Amino acid sequence: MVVRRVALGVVVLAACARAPVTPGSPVPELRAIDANGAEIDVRAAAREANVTVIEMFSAHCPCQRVHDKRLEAMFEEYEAKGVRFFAIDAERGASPERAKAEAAARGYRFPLLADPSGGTARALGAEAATHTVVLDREGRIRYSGGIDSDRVNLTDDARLYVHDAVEDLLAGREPRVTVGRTLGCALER
Amino acid sequence: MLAPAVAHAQACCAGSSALTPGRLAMHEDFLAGATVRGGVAFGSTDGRGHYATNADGSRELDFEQDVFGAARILHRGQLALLVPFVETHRATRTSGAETGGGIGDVNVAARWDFLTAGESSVVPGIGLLAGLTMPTGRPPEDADTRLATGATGIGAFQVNGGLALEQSFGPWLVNLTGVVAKRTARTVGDLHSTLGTQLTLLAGVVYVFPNDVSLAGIVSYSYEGDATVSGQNASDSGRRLLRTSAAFALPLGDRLRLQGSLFFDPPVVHVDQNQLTTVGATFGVIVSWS
Repeated sequence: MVVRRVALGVVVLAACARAPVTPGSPVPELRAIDANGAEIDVRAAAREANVTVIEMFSAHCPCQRVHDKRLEAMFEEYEAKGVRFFAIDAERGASPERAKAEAAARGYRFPLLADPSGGTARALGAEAATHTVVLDREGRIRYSGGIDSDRVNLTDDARLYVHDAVEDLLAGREPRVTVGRTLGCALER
Repeated sequence: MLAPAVAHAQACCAGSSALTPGRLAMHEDFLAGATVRGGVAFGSTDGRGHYATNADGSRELDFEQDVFGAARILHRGQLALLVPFVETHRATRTSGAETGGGIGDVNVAARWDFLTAGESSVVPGIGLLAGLTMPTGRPPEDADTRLATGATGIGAFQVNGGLALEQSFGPWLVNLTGVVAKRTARTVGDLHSTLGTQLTLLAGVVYVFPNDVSLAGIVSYSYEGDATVSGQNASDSGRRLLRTSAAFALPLGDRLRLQGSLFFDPPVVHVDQNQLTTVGATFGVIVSWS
C-alpha cells in the first residue's frame, strides 16, 4: 500500500513537471513578497514598464553568482529606458529575510522578491536557476530561457539572449530569439 | 556507467558529475570523456573473509583506461557507452612477473530521471538505471599465461538494473544508489557455470563550492552471491568488497571538466570476500555540449 502511494506520488509529481511557457502568451499571475514583506503583483507592475525582465534566482547556484554582474550591467544600461527588473527567489526556504540579505550581499539595485510557495517558477515553467522571461508592455512573454549562452564562465562571444530581446523590444522589433537554454542549477522545491 | 562507478566519483550544475563521471548534467545534451585508473593491491581476502597481506615477492598493479560518451534521450533520459581497456601486472615469488591486458567488457547504460534532485522537497530525485555489459574482453580461461594477466573480462553477458535516489540541500547533494546485476551462464570445457547475482549499494555526499568545484565522499559495498557450477552451489565462491572514495570535479570553462578520485578498500575482516584490497586513483577529462 505504501509502495503504491509513493509510486502514485511520483507519477503525479512527474506529470506536474513544469511546462515551458510559450513566447507570445500573456504572462500568468505572479505574486511574490518584497524585502519589506509587502506582496508585489509582478504582472501588474510589468504593465507599467516598457519592458520587464523577470529572473528566477538561486542563492546557492554558481551560475547565478556568475550572472549577477550581467544582470547588473543590463539594469545599468536599461533602467533609464523604462525596463524593469525583478529577480524572484522561489526556491525552498525563500523568505523576505533571505531575499534582503542576498540582495544586499550581491549589491542588487533591482528588487529581489521572495516566493516561498514556488508558484512563480511553476507558472513560468522555470526548472533551472537564472531562467528569465522578458515581457513586452502588454505583459506578453516575448522571450523565455537563459540569460545568455554562458554557464559559469562568462565569454566575450556569448549569445546574449535577454540583452538582445530587450534591445529588440525597445526598438519595436520582434525578438531575434524567443526561447533559450537555461544552464543554471535545478531549482530546489 | 550511469550507475555510480565504484572507482569514480558532482548538487546540480556540478554535483552529480563528481559521483558519476559519465552522467549528463541537467543542461547537457552530449558528453565524451576518458578516464585512467591505477590501483595497487596490498592484500586480499579469501572465501571465508580472512584477510592477508601480500605474500613476500607478490604484487599486483591494475590499470584501466575508459573511453565513454553519453547522449540525452528526450528530456529526462540518457544513454551511454563505455569502452574499457584493462592492463594487469602481476608477480609472485614462484612464477615471476608478467603483464597482460586488452579491451575489456563494453558497457551500454541507460538512465531515466523521473524526478531530479530538488524538484520536490518531499520526494527525492528518482533515477531508474539499466545496463548491459557484453563479453568483449578476454575471459579468464583464454588468458593462457601462468598468472592469467591477459584476462580482461568475465566471459558472460551482464544485465544491470538499479535505482538512484538523490536530493540537494543548497550546495549539498546526497545520493543513494542500488544496482543488481545478473550474469548469463557460460560453459568452459565440461563445466557449466554462472556467477552469482551481484548487488552494489552506494552512498555519496557531494559539496559544490561557489566556483562550481565539487568534492565528494563515497562508500560502496558490492555483494556477489556464490557461483553455480554444473548445477551445484560453489560454496565460499562469492565476492564482497567495501570501497571508500574521495572524488572531485573541476570545471575548466563551461564545456570541459577534470575529474578524479582516490579510492581505498579497507581490509575489514569478514566484510570482504575473495577480493583484492586495493588503493588507487582515477583521473579523467570530459567534454560536454549543451
